[in-house]
Amino acid sequence: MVQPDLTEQLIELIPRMRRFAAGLSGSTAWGDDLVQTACERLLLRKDSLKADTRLDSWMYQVIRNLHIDGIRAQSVRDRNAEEVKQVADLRLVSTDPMDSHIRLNEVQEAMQLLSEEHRSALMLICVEGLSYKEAAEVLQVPMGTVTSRLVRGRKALIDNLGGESESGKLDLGASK
Amino acid sequence: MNDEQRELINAFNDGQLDEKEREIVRELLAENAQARAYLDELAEVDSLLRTAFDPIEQEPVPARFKALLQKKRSHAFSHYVVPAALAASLLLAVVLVIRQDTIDQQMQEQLLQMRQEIASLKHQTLENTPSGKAVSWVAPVGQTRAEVTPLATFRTKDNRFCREYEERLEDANGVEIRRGVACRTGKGHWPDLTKLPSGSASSTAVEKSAVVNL
Repeated sequence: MVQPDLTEQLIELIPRMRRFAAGLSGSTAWGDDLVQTACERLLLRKDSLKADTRLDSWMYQVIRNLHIDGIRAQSVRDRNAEEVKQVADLRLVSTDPMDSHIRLNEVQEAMQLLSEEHRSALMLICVEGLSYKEAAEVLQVPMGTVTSRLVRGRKALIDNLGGESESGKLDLGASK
Repeated sequence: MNDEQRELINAFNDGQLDEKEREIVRELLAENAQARAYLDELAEVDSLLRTAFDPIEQEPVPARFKALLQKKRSHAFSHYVVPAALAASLLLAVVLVIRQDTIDQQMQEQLLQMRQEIASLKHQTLENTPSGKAVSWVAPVGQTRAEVTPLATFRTKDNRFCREYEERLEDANGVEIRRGVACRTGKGHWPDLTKLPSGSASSTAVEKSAVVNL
């Protein structure tokens, strides 16, 4: 699959991939390294991609595999600990604290308490807006598995945010 | 609620059901407050997740990705880019050479003009200025400055009218002082004695001792 506009397609995908990678890894800095490494792999292997490969699916999949493997771009390995600590502080605090009773970095923290399987299912479906079928392709598991991970993941996240699932007492936001 | 109902409500929330399945969920929601609360929780947690992560997607693409992807792109088109760059640099070199030539030519012209001015100064000074009095000339541009001072006047045995003089040339490189002897060959024309044919110059020089200072 040699596409002259591959880099342009990739540029357009970067914002979504960064969001996904940040959600998986718990930090935009980590996430950006995952995205960068995935981009480099794609550009190296672009000739071996199948014609029907969806670029976004391929990227989601590679980013997730890289995250699971703990592979990080050289650039971050070389950074000193202070910088890593600094960038690990996510910019996820709502600009308007009245938006929600739960500070948004608490959502991030709660996500990191989930298993990777739950977290990736939540990111792909709830944030990235993939269908169950698309998520199943990215995660390379049957749709039933995706559904199961999603249901359990959502419950676990609600629990981590301090609510009581199904009780209706979860105080996730007064606006609702 | 059982697991199957929870999955249905999740799929309902995520828009993954067909119309028949949606109707089943609607009935469940209508009769089951716990199901309604559960759906509310799902919508709420989704909203939180999007609010938490969407700002990252809204950020402009960081420079590192643009650099990475544009670098690769220029790789792909290197066959075109490199000759273009080479051609551009060659063009630049040609332009620079021409420019340098132009500069050299201009400097040559200026230098030539200054030499003519200084030569003219010498001729005029030797023609009109008494010995011991300096006449100077300053170039209109730059730091070049010339001064000619006739030192002595004498007549040779063959009745040529000659003057010893000192020429002081000053420019950015420093000061050069030169002494010479020039003999009049016509009005306002005082070629240097050393420029005369060697035979006559040597004989004139020899005869200099016999000249009478005027």
